[in-house]
Amino acid sequence: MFDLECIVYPYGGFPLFALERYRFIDKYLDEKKQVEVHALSELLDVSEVTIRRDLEKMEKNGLLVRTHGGAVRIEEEAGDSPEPDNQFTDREGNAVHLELIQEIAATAARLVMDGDTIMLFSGPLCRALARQLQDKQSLTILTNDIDIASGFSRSGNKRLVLLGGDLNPDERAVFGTLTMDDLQRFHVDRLFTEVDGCGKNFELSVHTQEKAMLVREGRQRTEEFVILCLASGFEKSAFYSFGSARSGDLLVTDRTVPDEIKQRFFDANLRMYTAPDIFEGAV
Amino acid sequence: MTTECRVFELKNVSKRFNESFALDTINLSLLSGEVHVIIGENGSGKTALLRLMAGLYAPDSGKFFYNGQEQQFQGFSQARQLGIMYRPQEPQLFDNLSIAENLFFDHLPRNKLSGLDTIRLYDKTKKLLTELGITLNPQALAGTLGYAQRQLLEAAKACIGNNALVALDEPTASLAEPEREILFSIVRRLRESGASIVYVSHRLDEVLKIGDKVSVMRHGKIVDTMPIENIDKSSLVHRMTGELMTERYPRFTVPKGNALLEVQNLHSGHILRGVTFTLKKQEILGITGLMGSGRTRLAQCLFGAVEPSRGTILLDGKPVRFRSPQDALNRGIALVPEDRVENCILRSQDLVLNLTVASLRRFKKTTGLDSAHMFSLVKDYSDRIGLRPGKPGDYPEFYSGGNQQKVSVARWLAKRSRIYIFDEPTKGIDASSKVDVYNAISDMVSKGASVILVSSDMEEILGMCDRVLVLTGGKIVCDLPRDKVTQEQILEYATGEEE
Repeated sequence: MFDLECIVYPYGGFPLFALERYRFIDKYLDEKKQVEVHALSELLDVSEVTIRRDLEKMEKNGLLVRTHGGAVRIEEEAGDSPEPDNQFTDREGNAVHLELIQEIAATAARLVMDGDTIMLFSGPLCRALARQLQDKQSLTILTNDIDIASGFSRSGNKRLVLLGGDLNPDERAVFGTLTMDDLQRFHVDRLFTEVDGCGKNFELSVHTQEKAMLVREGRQRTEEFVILCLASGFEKSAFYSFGSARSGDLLVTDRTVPDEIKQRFFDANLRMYTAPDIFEGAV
Repeated sequence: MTTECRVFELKNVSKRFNESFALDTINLSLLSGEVHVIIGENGSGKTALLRLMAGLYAPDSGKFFYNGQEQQFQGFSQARQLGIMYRPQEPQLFDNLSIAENLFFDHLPRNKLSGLDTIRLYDKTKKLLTELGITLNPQALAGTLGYAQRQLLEAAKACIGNNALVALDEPTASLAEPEREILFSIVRRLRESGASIVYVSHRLDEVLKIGDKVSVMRHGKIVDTMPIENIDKSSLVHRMTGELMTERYPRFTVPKGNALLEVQNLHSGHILRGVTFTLKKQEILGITGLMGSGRTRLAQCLFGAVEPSRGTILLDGKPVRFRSPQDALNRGIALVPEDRVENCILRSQDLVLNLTVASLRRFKKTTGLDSAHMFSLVKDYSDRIGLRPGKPGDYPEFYSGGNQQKVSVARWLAKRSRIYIFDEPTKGIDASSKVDVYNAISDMVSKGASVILVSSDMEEILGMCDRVLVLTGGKIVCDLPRDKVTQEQILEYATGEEE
């Protein structure tokens, strides 16, 4: 049976109020993954009606999903149901919340000023960023990603330059010497690229050699270098390195990034955006 | 200065306070009849060093020598017996005792029956005060004195008895020119009597005026000690600062809106003397200045915690008057205060209440509070601001300083105000919490809020703010955009003499 002792109240007392019951149910769910109404009713010494009402309210606030006779965590539910929209699988097969990707993209989009010339390299984070850029005025966008290019093909107030080269069907982007040659002609305000690994000494790496070469070349042709990286990419190496993050580079990651990484970046005078997306706007 | 007698010596003294602050291998020797000035930025460890010398802290390692003999300090009273006198920055007087009694508290004159010899007490006091040029009635109660007079009195105490070492912590922080002169005369008098004086100051002009030797402190270390003849002002400023890291602050370039908050000729007692500035929408305005320059009072005035004595505050172009913080909150101004333990964390209350207490109105429903909504908001906020583990049932009083500060910031973010005043938002917290706080500030500015960042951390001011104001002696002496101002300039403005 669930151990009551594991809920520690520094000031003593039992879960009597609604708020304390929510906390209890939440903790119970953390450990057991599912709750039953009659078990909770016994544990908390309240009627089943009260528990049902609690679960109903918690469901309304997105804390759990009710089932017959109990409730489960939302994550579990999402895993079972065919809802690929709020999940994204990275290269290693780890599920990443789409929300985190969107928050990275929204934060990176704030770095783009109206009238900028920017370069977006291929990848899911950059594609999410491109979607966030629809409202910006008079941008010039260079890209090697055909999905990004087609996304902007109908927006009138932006200029789009699609780099040429050999198409890589897996990446849905062009690479190779043709692309590198094309790149020689441009200089941009900001280059956005996503990396698959960021090592202990801020070494940045990607999964393919052709992308590493492209990024290395692109880095010479930009004023500001913006690195997009999921928190899962830290302390990892993705084999093809293209250099280290330097002071002056901007790194955008999601809010699940561990504290030690934040500290290490701060101490090295590297700018890190953690995309907290916490402020709900003034009222 | 004829007798080269080493009164006091510290050899390789270290003391660790917390993960971000420590005194590191301090070597210092103090001679009799010499004024040794210690300068450094806020938080460089000057006060901590004085307190160590006065026996208030025990060092972790290192040796003390007093008159050539090694000493193990057992505490403050033993240091006093050896003739070490420490005068803290805040005057500590007994309000219900007279000036004379306060002055001679440790040396009260006794008559033959060992009762208090009042006549001699007042006589001696009168004589001393006249010598020092202080015009005060010895019989008046200390509680009736103004702040500057209290500071002078505190310094005058050092003239009584036999003090071999006098440590003064920023004795002139809020003194005007005539009072400063009196204080200098006290210091000179002590020097002539053969005492060794350690004098902590922020102000470079003072250093040149009364110092014999100068030590510069930075990050808990003494980086340089030199005689006064060898220095000039600009090299001193340079030594105080060191290398700057301003790239690491996650700021956005946001187009600024119209003027949102205009402060005109704001006065508050003797602390603020005509402050004028404008805050634009979506701007981060940095206000810096030395201790005692009126930074915190300014924040309090804008938040309605203290009512200004003169001047106008315009919000959206209309004059407003805040009689209480409630007024300011209703108008959309929030203050994240400096001292999170004192002014923010609710003891014996869990994270849910600590995060929602400022915004309870959001959770109101006909039968009371919507606890389920509160609960889910707390989970969401603590996750987003990086509180780890951040369980709703936690008690924030047991959190680390950084996590407590994040609780404080998140609480006011939930209030959804238009203008946020941050008073020293990252003082004494770890680097990863700083990253979280800065990202939260950037997030709110990019979503339409405006921020006044009051700070003494120069890197933070230069790294985060769009515009920098320097407050000196209750006035704004510098108002420049971020890219037009350097740390040297700010320090020079902040330490400069008042007109």
